Amino acid sequence: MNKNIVLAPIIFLLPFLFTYVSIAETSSVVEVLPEITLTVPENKEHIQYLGLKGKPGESFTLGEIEADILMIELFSMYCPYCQHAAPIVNELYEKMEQIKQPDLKLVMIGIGANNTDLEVDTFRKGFDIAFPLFSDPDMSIYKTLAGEGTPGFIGCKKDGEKNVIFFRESGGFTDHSEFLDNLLNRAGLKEVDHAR
Amino acid sequence: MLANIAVSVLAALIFLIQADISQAEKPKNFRELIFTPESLKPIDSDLKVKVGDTAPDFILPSIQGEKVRLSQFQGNKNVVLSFVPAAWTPVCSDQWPGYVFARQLFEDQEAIILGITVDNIPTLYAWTRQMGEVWFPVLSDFWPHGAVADTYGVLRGDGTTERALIIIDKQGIIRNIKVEDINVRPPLDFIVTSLNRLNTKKTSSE
Repeated sequence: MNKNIVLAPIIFLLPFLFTYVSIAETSSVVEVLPEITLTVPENKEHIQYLGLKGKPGESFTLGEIEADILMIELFSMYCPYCQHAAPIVNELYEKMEQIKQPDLKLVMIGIGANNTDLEVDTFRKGFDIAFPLFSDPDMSIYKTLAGEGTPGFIGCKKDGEKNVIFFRESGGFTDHSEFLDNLLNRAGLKEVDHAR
Repeated sequence: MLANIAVSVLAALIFLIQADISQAEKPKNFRELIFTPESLKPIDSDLKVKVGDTAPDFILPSIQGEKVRLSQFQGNKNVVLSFVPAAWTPVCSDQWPGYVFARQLFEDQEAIILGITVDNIPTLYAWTRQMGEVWFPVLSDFWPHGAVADTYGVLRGDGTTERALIIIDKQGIIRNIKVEDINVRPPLDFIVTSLNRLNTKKTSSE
């Protein structure tokens, strides 16, 4: 009888525990980077940076970008947090550029959610942004990437033939080195040296 | 022994659930203060002005302290009237931060924005303080309620205003009007193109 009293809560709670564990496992399932088409930029340095073969005006997919780690920033010219984060994101880009390892190419692009070309261009000029920015006026790219607010950061890497999303962060950050460490750690690259 | 296991399982469960709840909590910020209504009727008023009209003059109090008269800019600046529906609502809460950021574009076109809502001064003050350094006058059309908006025909049935842009040249003439779907932010392109046209025409006629 006593045994039953002790066992009852365990038997009652076990299904909930298993449900919880299975939910936790589901969330760690690999997230494949969806197919997203962009237009090859006019800027030749950007074409080279992205490792694209097409000509300006032609289209390419995110998967064609030559990068071991691709960082996508979701931003909007209208978002005060994105404005606030922009100089720190620029520093992050500089840090990423300083990593010179032959087997590790880090690339960053920005997607202007609900922004026209003019709005993206205004943002670029206002903050002197060196990495390529693309407009997403109807937010179709943002939605396909399942964006969760701006600024948002999505890290992708190659996993065999696939490109997978391994990193998602929403909101700004204050320490670009810490952010980069976090990104590299989560990519499974703990020994990358970047001067702090 | 079994009792110990039961307690351990319970403790583990409580820990897991609490950890989950604490992850869901996020700090308060500007965005979380914004009230989000359902999608609204796109346009709910009839314009009372048209392109080519002299813009009806008005005088309104600003959050910066002084009263601003539309005609004070005549001969000096092109004016962009930016009516937005209400403080603390979506779309409006990022439309003006965009204009705050794009200041240079307006200055290049010798233009000033007059931001207008039907909110009272304290509400407008608190709301716009979240937007950084607002360089243009923010005007309160609170009392008599929405009188200026009504003169222009952009006062909605519920007492808020349309999301409207009215481009006025240095002679005080209305040169372009956009009453946008209230649920959508008008592209910056409309303002820049309209102002550009004003300045280009002026140069060619001189």
